[in-house]
Amino acid sequence: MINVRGLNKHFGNFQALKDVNLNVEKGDIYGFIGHNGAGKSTTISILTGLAKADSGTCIVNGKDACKTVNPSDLGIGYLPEDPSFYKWMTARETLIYLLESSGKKNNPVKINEILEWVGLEESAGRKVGGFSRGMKQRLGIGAALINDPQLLFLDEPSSALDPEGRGDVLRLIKDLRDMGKTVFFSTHILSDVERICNKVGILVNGRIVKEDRLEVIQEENILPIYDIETDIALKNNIVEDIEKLKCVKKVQTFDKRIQVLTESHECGKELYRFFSDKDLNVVSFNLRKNDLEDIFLEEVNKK
Amino acid sequence: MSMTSTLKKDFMDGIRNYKFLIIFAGFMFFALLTPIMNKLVLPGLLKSQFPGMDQETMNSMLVTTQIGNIRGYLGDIFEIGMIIVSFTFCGAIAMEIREYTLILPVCSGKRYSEIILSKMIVFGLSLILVTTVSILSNYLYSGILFGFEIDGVIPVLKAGILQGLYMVFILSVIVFLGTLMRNQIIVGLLTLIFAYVSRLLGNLLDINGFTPAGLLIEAEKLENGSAAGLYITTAITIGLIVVFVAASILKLRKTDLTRR
Repeated sequence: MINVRGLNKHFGNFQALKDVNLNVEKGDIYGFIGHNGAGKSTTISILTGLAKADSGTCIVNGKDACKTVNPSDLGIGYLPEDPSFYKWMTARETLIYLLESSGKKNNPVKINEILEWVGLEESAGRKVGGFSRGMKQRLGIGAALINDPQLLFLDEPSSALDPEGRGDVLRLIKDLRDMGKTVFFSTHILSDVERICNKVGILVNGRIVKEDRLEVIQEENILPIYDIETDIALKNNIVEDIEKLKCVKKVQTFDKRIQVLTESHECGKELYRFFSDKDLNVVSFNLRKNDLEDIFLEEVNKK
Repeated sequence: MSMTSTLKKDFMDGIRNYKFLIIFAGFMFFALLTPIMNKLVLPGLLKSQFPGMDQETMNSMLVTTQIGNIRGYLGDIFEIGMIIVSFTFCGAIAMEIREYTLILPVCSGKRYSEIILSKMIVFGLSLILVTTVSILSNYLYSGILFGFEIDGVIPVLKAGILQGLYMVFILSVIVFLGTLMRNQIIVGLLTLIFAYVSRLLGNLLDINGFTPAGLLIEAEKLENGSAAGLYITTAITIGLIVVFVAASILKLRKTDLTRR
């Protein structure tokens, strides 16, 4: 559905995208991860045909988005990071206007179905100017679906929402997956990606540093992490001693809690022995797997 | 269907954001105020300021004819009506780009040409309608107060349409500037500067007949029939409108609508 090769984009002297390559198959829910300013929105703007790249090819739905003049020619749905509507239009009027923008006739049944699906049927007659951020986001997802596209680009759809709003948006994206749609979904909320995506691309400073199936990335990076809590904050020399243990890769301290990234599960015994030998009172000793956030931070730190 | 929906949307915008009402109220205010000022307010003011002034001198200082009133109204509209038009429509494109409201329609299939043409049609027609209705009101009201002296209503209608066409030209400038910059206030101010300076240069160089401002001079004549020069002025104005509209479409196509 999407095949990008050697995509570059400059803003003046600043290079926003550096030789970006990515591949999205039909039916994928692709999580496009990156910190703020990494170039996620720039990439999406280019892939939706709304902005031009300096170089590279970007095949979207079989067409070169880098050369498209009219974004609608790509046959995609798009939800911008902060979807803007005419404040003086009602939700229903907005969807009718967008449906008619594609040259189709008003279809009240379809409009009602979309309003119901995004949970706005009761607010359909209200002006969009009075909508909350979450309602606008849901209307935006409905608007992206108005032409029944098979491929949707969602730019940070849940980032600025409260937990309830985020939950609503994630439920809608899950529905899209069940409908068989392909979704390209950018975010910096990694737990959202773990919940709904099957493929992940990590963008750091305009460059893709990792791209693969989510389970493959997790398996590759399955390093055990121990969260250890003591009754008193550990002194620096103790932390340094832990760092010197052979099986320990990295230690992070948070007052009375430390997070120890190790090479293998075997390291647990060694850590336990260390705390026992030092006569330190351990309040809790938990093993957890590297999550996407750890993997992401590791990739960022490499850079 | 797509163009119809754009026309409908811009018409709703004009109604719900009071753009039509502001233009209509502004033009009608001057259309009705000019005769009232000349008939009732100014004579009283002169009498109170110069108690010994004889009637003949006073009449020479006042506008006491229907034609004088209509010309006074047309002058007011160029000076102040232009401000109303510029700042009512200054956001027509600039605000849409600034507030990112074009992104979803464009992604849904709206063409850049439709966006520009729809605004020109809806707001342009409203301007021609308002200028015509207002000058007719001024003609009737000043006729009632000072007596009718124009032969028929055709010269007045012609003046209203010429004034409207000039306003459509101004609208095309607003739309074009709106594709170049996102700040609508600057668009409004630059449009005013453009209109006033081009009129001033036209007067200084005596080339008004070859600029859109020539339409306003022709309108003030309040004559039946059309001089050959009017066709040239009209053709130049329409040509410039087409150029500005085409340039706006091309510029909008190249604009990154998502840029923050």
